[in-house]
Amino acid sequence: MSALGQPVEIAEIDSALRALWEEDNAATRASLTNFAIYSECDDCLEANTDVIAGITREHACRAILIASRPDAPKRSVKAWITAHCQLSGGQKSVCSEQVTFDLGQPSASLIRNIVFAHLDSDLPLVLWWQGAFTPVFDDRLYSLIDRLLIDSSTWENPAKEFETLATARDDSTSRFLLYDLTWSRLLPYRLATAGLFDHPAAASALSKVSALTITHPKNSRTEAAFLLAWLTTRSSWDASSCKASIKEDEKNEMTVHFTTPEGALTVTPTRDDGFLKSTVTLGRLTAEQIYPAGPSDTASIVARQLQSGGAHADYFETIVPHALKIIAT
Amino acid sequence: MNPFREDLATRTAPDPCTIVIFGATGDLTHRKLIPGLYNLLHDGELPPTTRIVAFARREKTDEGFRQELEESNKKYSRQSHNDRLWQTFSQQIEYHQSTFEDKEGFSRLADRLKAYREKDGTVGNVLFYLSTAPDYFDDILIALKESGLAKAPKNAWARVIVEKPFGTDLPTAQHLNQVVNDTFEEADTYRIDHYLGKETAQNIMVLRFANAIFEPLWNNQHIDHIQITCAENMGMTGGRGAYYDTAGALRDMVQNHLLQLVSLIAMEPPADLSADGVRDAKVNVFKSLRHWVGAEEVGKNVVRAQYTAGSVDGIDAVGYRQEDRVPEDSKTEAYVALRCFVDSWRWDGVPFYIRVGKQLPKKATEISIHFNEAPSVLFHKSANQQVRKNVLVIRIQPDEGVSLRMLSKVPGPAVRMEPVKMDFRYKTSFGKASPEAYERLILDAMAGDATLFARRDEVEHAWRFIDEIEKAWHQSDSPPPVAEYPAGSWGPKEADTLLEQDGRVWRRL
Repeated sequence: MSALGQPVEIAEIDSALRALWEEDNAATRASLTNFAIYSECDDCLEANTDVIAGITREHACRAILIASRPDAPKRSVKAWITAHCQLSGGQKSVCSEQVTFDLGQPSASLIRNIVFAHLDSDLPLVLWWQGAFTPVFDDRLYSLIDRLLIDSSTWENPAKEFETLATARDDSTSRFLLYDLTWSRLLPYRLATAGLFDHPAAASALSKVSALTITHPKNSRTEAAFLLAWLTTRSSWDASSCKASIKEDEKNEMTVHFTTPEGALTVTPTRDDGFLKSTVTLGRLTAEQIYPAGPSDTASIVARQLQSGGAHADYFETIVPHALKIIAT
Repeated sequence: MNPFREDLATRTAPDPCTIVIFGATGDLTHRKLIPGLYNLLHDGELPPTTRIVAFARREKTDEGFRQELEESNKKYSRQSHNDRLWQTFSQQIEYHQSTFEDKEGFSRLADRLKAYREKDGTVGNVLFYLSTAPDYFDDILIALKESGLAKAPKNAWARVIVEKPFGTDLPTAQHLNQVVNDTFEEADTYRIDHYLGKETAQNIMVLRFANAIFEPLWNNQHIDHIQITCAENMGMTGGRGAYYDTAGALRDMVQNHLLQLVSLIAMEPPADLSADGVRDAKVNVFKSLRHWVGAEEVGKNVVRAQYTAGSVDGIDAVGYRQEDRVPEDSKTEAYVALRCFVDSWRWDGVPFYIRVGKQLPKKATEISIHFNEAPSVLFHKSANQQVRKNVLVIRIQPDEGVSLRMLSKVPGPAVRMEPVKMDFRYKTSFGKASPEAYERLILDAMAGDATLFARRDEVEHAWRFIDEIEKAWHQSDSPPPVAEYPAGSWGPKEADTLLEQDGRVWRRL
């Protein structure tokens, strides 16, 4: 049996799942959501299985993994089932089930049917669409999604993909809340940056910021653009009073640096121990605060996003247009 | 308002402040307060420039005290102990040696707080936490008033958190409230009852008012009775007998924690979710509690008991009167069971049975709502009478969650029914550990949100109810007897009789 679990015929999935639970000693099969991952990537299934294993540690769900290979030499359908069980008191006590599909040359209708036929009834559907949108992402699919996860930093052409999303969001049949994992990853930086100006002495420095520089690792330009877009849209700076920019960092770190006439305010990662350090140096005042840098693994980021719920406030309407402009420059 | 906070806030943001803990060398500080504050920092919830002053009588150095706290944090913190984070956190903790009567000690405290303000550029918010025995509350509050510390600097606030017990009866509670309110405004007074900070206690309002299916059934038309059980499988370990014998189960648990749970279960929908909106609704429950007056009424509706020698968790246990620091002739109850009525339109005729005790078979706090039976014309012969009622159980601790018992047909040719349970468990559904109650409550106090704290009138109404029972026990010519139960059992027979008289039984936990 592979990491994907036990191979099954599509028509036998439900009965195979029932048999799986009957032979297992798991005390509880739990599910809060249907969590589907769709990718068009040849070797993503095992990596996504690891992600599901991580997510189910804190978020019980019915997981549906779909790997679609439109360029496969022939039409094919393969399926597997498995369970992710968490240990409690030395026993497997809580289990989530996973159904995996590998589809060669699938039609859009096959993919939709695969999703719809294997949902746990009454529970919300969370779909993580990995990569760029394809014609499969149409109204008959997205009208059933409750929450849509994307990761805009993986897109080659963000402007085009956000346009597809805008069309879907404007469709009266759609109801999904949108979560961008790129935006989720920035939460610790946003909290630490906001924390700089919680300091009573720093609050007045906000209007005097003359420069804002965000440095970023080589592959994190989109993240940096989003962070800069958020900071500039939240503040009252204009281009003549504050020079705001992003640039690639030689040390491969994301940092935020505000310059004011009285001093500087910075957010930097600490070395190796998973925290962000915010430092306020204004005149005689020096203050430091430590913030959790948040998880770096995808499973934890997704699990955290699933638990926090709620829509990303202002993200799509305000932050995205600004970020796209920054990315385009 | 910090513009970067606008879309980040999931709750009212706590203000930066200095937390002054009186009685900081005590158990609560080591087990709950410091680990709680550390966890808040770990989760990024603690505002910058938060400082902690540990005010206590014993001679200690800052560094020595920090080391003690570090050991406790390693043991009790919900989050794993991180040396780097602890280093940052502990530098914000300073030890302040003084007695609670020493004016000079409070004067030095004022100087210390002023120095923080100047060094940090803060406005000078201060949260005083009274974590001492209640005997010291007067001294501390008077000293805070006389030293001017209770009066916040301009644009700042000064608040006080008071730990239970909020008095030992109505007059002492009124006195305490008077002293507190002579020093702090009621709006700046936070009476902490950690039960209200528990996720499951907070979930009671969500369960009732966010789900359309329960509230239509939540009344005397559909509910037969309600049981609240708070069982502990411990006796008087760690010298606890000395305090406990002066309080007893009724004052130690019922007056605060359990009546708070009654109020959450019985309250009408509040006008809004503001602190006073919720607390007004709870106070109405306390006002509607039927008082038991005189030995006869108390004897009929309240059972008090002490445990005798027995066995708990496979270990021999001594009787209550043989416990360390408990007088041999003690009449203090280690167990109490009572029948209550909330005399309101909604709850007319619905008994609330409460039981709480030490040295019971297991540790569990839960509320069970026992619904009326379905009309018996169809299946009345098919099910055991005792399990025919639907029961909704709200488990407060441990294994927090909600379950619903219902009847189901047993597969087979005959119509045979058995009870089955639908069970929601926080741990399996949400995985993540719930924050400690103290974390939530401290953060609320820093944010000025008093919703989960007891208001003065709630406390005083609860004492009015309790005092009548205490009076019958201790001041009447023919007080109701103190019953007995073997340690490790589910309480005295008299408690079972209390329900049997009404044709009911205690729920088996």
